[in-house]
Amino acid sequence: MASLKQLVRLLRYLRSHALHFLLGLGIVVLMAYTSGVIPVLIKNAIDEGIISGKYHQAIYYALLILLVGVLNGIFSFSGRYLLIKSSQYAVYHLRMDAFKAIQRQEMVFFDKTFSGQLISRITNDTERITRFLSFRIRMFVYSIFLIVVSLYYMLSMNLLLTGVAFFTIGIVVTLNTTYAMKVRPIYDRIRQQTGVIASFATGTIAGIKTIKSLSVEKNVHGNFSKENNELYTLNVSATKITAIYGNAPFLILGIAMSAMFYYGGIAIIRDVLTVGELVAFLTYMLTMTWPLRALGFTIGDIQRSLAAASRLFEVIDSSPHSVDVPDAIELKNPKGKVEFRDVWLTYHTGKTVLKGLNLKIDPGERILITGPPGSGKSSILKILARFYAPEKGEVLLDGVDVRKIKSANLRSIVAYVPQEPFIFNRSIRENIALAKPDATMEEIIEAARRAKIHEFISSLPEGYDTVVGEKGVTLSGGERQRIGLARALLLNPRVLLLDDPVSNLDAQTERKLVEDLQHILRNKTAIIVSQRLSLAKLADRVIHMEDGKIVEEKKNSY
Amino acid sequence: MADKSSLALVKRFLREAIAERKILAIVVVSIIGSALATLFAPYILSIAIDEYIIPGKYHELIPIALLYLLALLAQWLFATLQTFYTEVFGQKVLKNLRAKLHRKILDSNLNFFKDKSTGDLVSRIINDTNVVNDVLLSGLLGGLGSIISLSGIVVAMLFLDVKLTLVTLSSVPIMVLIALYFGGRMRRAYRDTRQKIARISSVVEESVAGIETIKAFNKEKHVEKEFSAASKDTIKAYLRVAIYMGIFWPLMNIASLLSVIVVIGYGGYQAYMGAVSIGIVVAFIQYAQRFRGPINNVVSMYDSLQSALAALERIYDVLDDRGVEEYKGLNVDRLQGRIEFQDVWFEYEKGRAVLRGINLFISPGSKIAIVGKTGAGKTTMANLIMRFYDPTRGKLLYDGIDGREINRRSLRRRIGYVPQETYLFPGTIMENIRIANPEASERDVVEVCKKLGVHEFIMKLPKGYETSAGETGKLLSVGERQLISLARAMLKDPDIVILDEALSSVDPKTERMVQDAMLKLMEGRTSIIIAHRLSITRFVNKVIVVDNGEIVEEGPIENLLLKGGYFYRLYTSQMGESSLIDISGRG
Ligand SMILES: Nc1ncnc2c1ncn2[C@@H]1O[C@H](COP(=O)(O)OP(=O)(O)O)[C@@H](O)[C@H]1O
Ligand SMILES: Nc1ncnc2c1ncn2[C@@H]1O[C@H](COP(=O)(O)OP(=O)(O)O)[C@@H](O)[C@H]1O
Ligand SMILES: [Mg+2]
Ligand SMILES: [Mg+2]
Repeated sequence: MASLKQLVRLLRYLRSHALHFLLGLGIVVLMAYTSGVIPVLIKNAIDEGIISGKYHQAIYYALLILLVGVLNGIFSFSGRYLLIKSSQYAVYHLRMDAFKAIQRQEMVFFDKTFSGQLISRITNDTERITRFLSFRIRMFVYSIFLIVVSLYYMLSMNLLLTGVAFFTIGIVVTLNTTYAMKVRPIYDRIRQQTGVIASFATGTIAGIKTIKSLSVEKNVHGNFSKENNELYTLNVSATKITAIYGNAPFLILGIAMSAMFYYGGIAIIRDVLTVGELVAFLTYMLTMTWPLRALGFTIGDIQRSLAAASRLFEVIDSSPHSVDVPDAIELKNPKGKVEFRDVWLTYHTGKTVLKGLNLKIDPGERILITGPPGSGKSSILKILARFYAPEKGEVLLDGVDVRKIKSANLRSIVAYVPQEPFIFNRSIRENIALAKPDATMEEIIEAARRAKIHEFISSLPEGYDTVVGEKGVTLSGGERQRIGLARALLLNPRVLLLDDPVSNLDAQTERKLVEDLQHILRNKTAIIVSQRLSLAKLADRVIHMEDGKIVEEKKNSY
Repeated sequence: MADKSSLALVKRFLREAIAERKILAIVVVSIIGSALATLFAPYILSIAIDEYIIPGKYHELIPIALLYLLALLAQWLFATLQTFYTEVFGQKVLKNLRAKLHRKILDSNLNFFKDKSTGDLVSRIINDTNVVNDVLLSGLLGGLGSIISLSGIVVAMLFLDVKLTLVTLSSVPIMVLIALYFGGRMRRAYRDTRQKIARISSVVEESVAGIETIKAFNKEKHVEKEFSAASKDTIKAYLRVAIYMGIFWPLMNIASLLSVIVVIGYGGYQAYMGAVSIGIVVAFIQYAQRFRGPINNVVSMYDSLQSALAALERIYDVLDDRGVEEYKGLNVDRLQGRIEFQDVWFEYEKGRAVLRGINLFISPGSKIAIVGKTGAGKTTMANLIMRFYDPTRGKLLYDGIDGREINRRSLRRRIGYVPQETYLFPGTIMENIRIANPEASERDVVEVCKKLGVHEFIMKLPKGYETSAGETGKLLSVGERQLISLARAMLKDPDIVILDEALSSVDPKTERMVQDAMLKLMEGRTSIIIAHRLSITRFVNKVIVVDNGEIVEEGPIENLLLKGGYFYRLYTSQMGESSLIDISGRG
């Protein structure tokens, strides 16, 4: 009944298309009826036309068959179209909900999840649901009604043979359902293993330089082969099940048809059955082969499609309703005063990185943070940029807890440049103008100049329109770093958070950048993490972190 | 022309696939068997009606019913065999293709990767191989079965009645026309949906990988719009498929009903005239309904062959790429570590020299530092020493031997290289370090980390060495990643050490500590250190200053500082004038 709830919730996504969906189902019933009636018409043509020698009757039935066939085609088309359309829109809404939910998720969520999993939720799971809503449900309704119609006509012809047919249908549906249930988990594992191989190959390509410099190609390929063999084995076992269970219905149908053939023959000789009726029975058995299989698959698939739906619902439900608390406020005239008050932060891995951090930063003050790897420098910036929530304590901006500030407002006050800025596969211009799409070219060039990247960009054949490739692969580390910086400088924010902004720059470029920053950072609150002591020139205060605590604080005297 | 090359493709593929002879033989036999068995059932039916049921031969009905059963049983048996062995055969071929592609990627040189996207290469390994299996193997073999059953049906019908056969076949051209018309369109429409779905994945991928930046710059709404647009495109693509399929199947259905109608009309007339028996007409009605499947199969085989060929082409494209590394030549067990650049020129792209006539002698066991602006060519020099590339002109000598004569792999085994961008595999820290030397025990790993001073940092993590690094190391801080990749390089016990801005995100104190440890470990090994923080230059025998692909200054730090040139300016701009005092004190 949990699954019933899921189904209801899923169907609710049909929204404005619910009528189309119902209409589609109705048409599918008509389609099943027209399909089911054709063997009867053929039977009548044989019995009343051919055997009894009434030729005009045969022609009459032949034309009737054509008419029913055309009607069937029209029903088939419109039923399919309506169902696909309504379920596509339903899944569109579901997909949007899931995607928005992912965007609202806290960073912890992304730390815990492999990106491949999320992609698979949004693409594979939603596709499965579409297939369920459009194809499976259509086939389900169609099959049930076709079988009902067929049984009805069979019953009107011969009781015994109908009994045989009914019994056979029962066995075949059971077999097909078992088959679907048995093969589905293996297909799921195949899909998963395919994902493993895909991410393995991705890793090989991403780490190729590392692999080659360590000379571990053999090792890596050995591991790949292991996964590759595993996929092969899974595929073979799926094939085994398909070959045995998937074909078994043919065996049952074969036996049933032979029995019908025998008893039908006897019945004809005894004159209680006509030749046309026997043919109709056999035709019914043949036409039912695929609906029966579809029925089995639908029954086997309901659970799984609902599972896919509930995985998506989980993503949606686990996400906060809104990135902001209900009573979030907006800072109208931000001054840029920052305060950490006894802040504790623990990551989901159990690592406590900030242990009672206390730090007050006045508006317009510039802070340089140094410290050994893992001491929590980046974490300080991330918590102020509200990527992680403190376990205890408060982070205040102008005296207001950052969690109480509207997110859009906070982002426009605080600009954060991550340690490894993400470069999108767009032009350099779009990358710099990320947060301000309406920026003029002059503004963009000005920001690039300040970030000391303008010269490089101008030297490229296509200048600012150069597309930089996946994650900025065509750029060197230093260039990526400076584009990330230009992005933030374009915004001209009150508070600037820079994480290790010069680590890949040479001394000369760095010196020029620092000179400019001195000018740019005037009147701005800035927190800069860096390992270059030359950046101390920029700062009013230098803070040294160790093990999640501030161990040293030095005021700069100039 | 196109045909010839596709023929060549198929030939080549078959030659490679045919290795599994035994399985292939079973497959072919079961295909033929199953096609023949399918034909027999209606044939037996017609005989039974005409010769036994209508004449009322009650007793002979049992054997003929058994024969009918036998035909259906054979049909089932062969179908089962065919399903199983076709798939096993296909999966074997597929597995080999995947392994070959992966092997090829491992053996490719770095140039190979420059113009390829990861997603595309991976999709060749996963999707294109699958397409080949689905359509080329199952499709081809299935199509073969369809052709056999189709010709079988025709033969059986001809056997029964020639005129009726021709009449029945009248719907075949219609079906072929319908299938030809819709086949390509449906395939393209279907392929379009695949592309649209791929677009959705790439939007999701980028928005997940770049989530930090998206949130930081308030871009959620924008990305959402992009996603919505991609999703709506998918709907459109699916609706187009729905329309094509929605028209195609009913048309095929009606065409096959047309055969039935014609048989009833014409056959009924013939039976009425007494020209054919009722049993034969009944059998023809049964046959007429069996056309649709095979014809559809054969026609779609032609179409899917096109997409299989496209996939095959993409696979062979990678397999035939000549950007491979060769692993020939001398195997070196140990190097003394003498390295010489002799007038080395290098260009990544023709006409744009990145290194211009580098001459450099690095004596065994010495330490040198390479400094210079970003883009000067420092990493390129390291790339050449690692033999990721070979010089365009000039040569590199290792212990006096031309690098081109040494097996790359054995050379790399002797070099500990920490690249500028550290890469961690998903897995634990222990696994990440140990991969450098699978023979090393966990104790060896801990020992190296202790010697380097990295141990304490690792032990601070929640599970120590068993802490998971996460996807591309995202659960660790950048500095921690650098320390780990340093330990990894040292675990190899290399003769030559190359550090390319290896400690750029580590604080000066830790750097000094690790550096001291490194310097001790580097004793007796040739060391090449590329760094922007110039403090390291105090501890090396020689400093090389590179600018624009040329060595502009070279020598011990004292000499360079006295000279007051490029290096002097670089050094004082970073370290301040005061730093010169303790150097001159040392000198
Ligand atoms: N997303 C995360 N999940 C779990 N642990 C993390 C995460 N980010 C950082 N850590 C751990 O927290 C500690 C502090 O990280 P960080 O603040 O990035 O250090 P750094 O001072 O080098 O910038 C490190 O030990 C790191 O391994
Ligand atoms: N794979 C490549 N293809 C083309 N050009 C490259 C490639 N790698 C580096 N370059 C170019 O070669 C020059 C030297 O690069 P590099 O050796 O990485 O400099 P650095 O001294 O900063 O390490 C730069 O201008 C860079 O743009
Ligand atoms: Mg950091
Ligand atoms: Mg470099």
